[in-house]
Amino acid sequence: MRFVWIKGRCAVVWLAMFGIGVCAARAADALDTALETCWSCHGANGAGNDPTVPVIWGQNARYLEKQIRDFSSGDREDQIMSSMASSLRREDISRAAALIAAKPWPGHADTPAAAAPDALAACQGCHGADLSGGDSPEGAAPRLAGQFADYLATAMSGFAGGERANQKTMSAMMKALKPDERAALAKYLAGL
Amino acid sequence: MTARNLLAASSALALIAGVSTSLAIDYRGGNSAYGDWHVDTPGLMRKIEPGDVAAPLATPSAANRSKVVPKPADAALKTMPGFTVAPFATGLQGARVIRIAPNGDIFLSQSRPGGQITVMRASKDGSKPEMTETFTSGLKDAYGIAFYPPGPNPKWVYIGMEGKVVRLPYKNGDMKATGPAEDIVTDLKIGGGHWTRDVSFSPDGKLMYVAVGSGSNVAAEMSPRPDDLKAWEKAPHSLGSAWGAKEEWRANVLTYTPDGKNKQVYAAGIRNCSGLTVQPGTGTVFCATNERDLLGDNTPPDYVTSVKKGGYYGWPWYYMGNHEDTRPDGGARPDLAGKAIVPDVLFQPHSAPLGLSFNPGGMFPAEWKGDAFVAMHGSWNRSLHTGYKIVRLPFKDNKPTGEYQDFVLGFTAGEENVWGRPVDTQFMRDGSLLFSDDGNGVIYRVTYAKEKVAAK
Ligand code: HEC
Ligand code: HEC
Repeated sequence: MRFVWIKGRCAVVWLAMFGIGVCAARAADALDTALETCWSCHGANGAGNDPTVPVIWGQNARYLEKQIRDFSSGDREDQIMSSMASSLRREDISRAAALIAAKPWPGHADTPAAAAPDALAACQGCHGADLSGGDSPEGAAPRLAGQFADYLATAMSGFAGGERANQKTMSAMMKALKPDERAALAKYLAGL
Repeated sequence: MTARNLLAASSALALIAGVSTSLAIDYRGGNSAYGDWHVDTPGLMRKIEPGDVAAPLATPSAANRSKVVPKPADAALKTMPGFTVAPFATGLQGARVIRIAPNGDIFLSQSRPGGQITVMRASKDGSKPEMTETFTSGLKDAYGIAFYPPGPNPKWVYIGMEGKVVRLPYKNGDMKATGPAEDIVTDLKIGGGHWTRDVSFSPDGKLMYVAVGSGSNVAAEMSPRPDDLKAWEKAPHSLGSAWGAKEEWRANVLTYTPDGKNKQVYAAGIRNCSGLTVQPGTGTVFCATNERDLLGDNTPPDYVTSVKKGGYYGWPWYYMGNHEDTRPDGGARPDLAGKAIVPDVLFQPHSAPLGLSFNPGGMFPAEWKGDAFVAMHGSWNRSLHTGYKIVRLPFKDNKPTGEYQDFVLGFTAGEENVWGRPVDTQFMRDGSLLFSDDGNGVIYRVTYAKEKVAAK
């Protein structure tokens, strides 16, 4: 993450020497480099090989931005992601989210489940009819279709158990479901 | 490390080696002390000196998160001659802190998901639990466990949760809580990924120590800076106390009276003391700490240190003494230059030491009595993995020598997979060592038999 330091100096040194224009150009490159680190976990092609690390390429931009800010502020807890998020400059976060969102959602190898669980209908109002995410009254709802099942299951039980507490409606919804209902949803969604 | 130091240290070691094992001990100081899991060998002794710390980003900051897999069929743990490691209990999801009650019962926090305390009563031979009960559940992020008052007849067990400390009634032999959790401290700061709150009491029972890790990696969001830092650092804060909604009262060891009142910063600048242990006999507080991320493979060392009242240990502005970090928000702190205490035992960076305990004696080699044993959860921010093992810290006259020795290892299976992530260590009353693994939810037990060494 050399770029973090170069970037820091950029603000000071480059600004003084060449003015804002040069610095902004450098910063854009630096952000691309910054995001390289992300792919070592989130996958060089948009999906990593660890099903507990979520797909983020092609995810809803406003959702991504909120998550990065939440990790950075501590509203969403994960030791690694909190470090990673705080390595991005605050003013770069929305651009980073837009860059990631603009990449293609990767294909996946999960086999589709036979039948949709009953609880699914309740999700579509916010996460979209095809569960590819969108705006909801509660803020940007992420794409769920084709996300890793392991990650979805963790996210859902996190909302239910309080480990993830950055969205109250989702917490309430997940508490209302039984563990096996959540597991069935995760499996089905991953297969979409 | 100078050649002379190395010689002195290795001859001291030769002495230990002669008594306790038949191994010739491999000793690594200076730059050779650094390395990843490929170098790990039972018995290998290392010493990292503050002068040997690599410059920031001497190598790029890597991300290599381990993937926890079930134990591969051909995998086995390795330890030193004479020692045996065997699973003591399995199926303990999220196994974290282990504490032994005065009657020998084993208390375990299973922090995530859920948050519960499990009690196990060992069989006569100590090899497995004979009874297992859920002492209490529904305590979010339950982590630290401490019996109070200290001594043979506790009346309560205190539990550190992310945002608070609670206590439940307890008397020797209870396997289930006989009353509800009572809030003792309710104002611990939350968020930022550092959620482990360890709790311990001074031997006289007058002080409760509570460890609260930082709210972020390196305080990149901390402003506004107090106008008068000198005033800020007066009690209840102390030298090097961070500030702001996110970092005030964090990266600290705090003290309270056991009723949860009289909050004070005991020591500052300790990024995340996830293993807080009071040394038997001396009452000295020790912390095992994960240092900051994103500075490269070998920067900066994690550590175990004795903690002085009012001591400042560097975070976020400095590390390992006077190495400056320029990333904290709100500007540099030249006023703190030279004031950060150098920790006692420096570890390979990114090892992620979590729990530590002291060997009371009774089973392990006699000259290891009083030594500390530390569980290393293992790295993510390093190109090749490191940690994922139990190490021994030799002590002399109650003080750490600064060295550490590979004791139990073998959880790494290739460059990506691991089949265990050690969290805490604790000695049973017979002198055997338990350690927890939250990767696969196991408690292991390490025993020692002298005959086995002789037989080799
Ligand atoms: C060392 C591995 C690692 C690295 C490097 C990493 N991440 Fe993550 N990331 C994770 C894990 C694990 C999670 C899931 C955390 C959880 O379960 O709450 C995650 C979650 C996320 C999420 C939330 C996704 C969702 O669906 O809610 C976003 C956004 C994200 N990461 C962005 C990034 C960005 C941007 C970077 C680079 C600056 C990055 N990550 C680098 C491991 C990593
Ligand atoms: C009222 C709107 C609403 C409904 C209904 C809803 N969600 Fe959500 N969900 C959200 C929002 C908004 C978020 C983003 C939370 C955040 O900001 O962190 C979210 C996040 C999630 C996440 C986290 C995904 C990730 O990448 O981390 C999962 C999983 C999820 N929802 C599953 C479900 C399921 C399954 C259902 C149906 C049983 C459901 N949701 C119903 C609004 C909703």
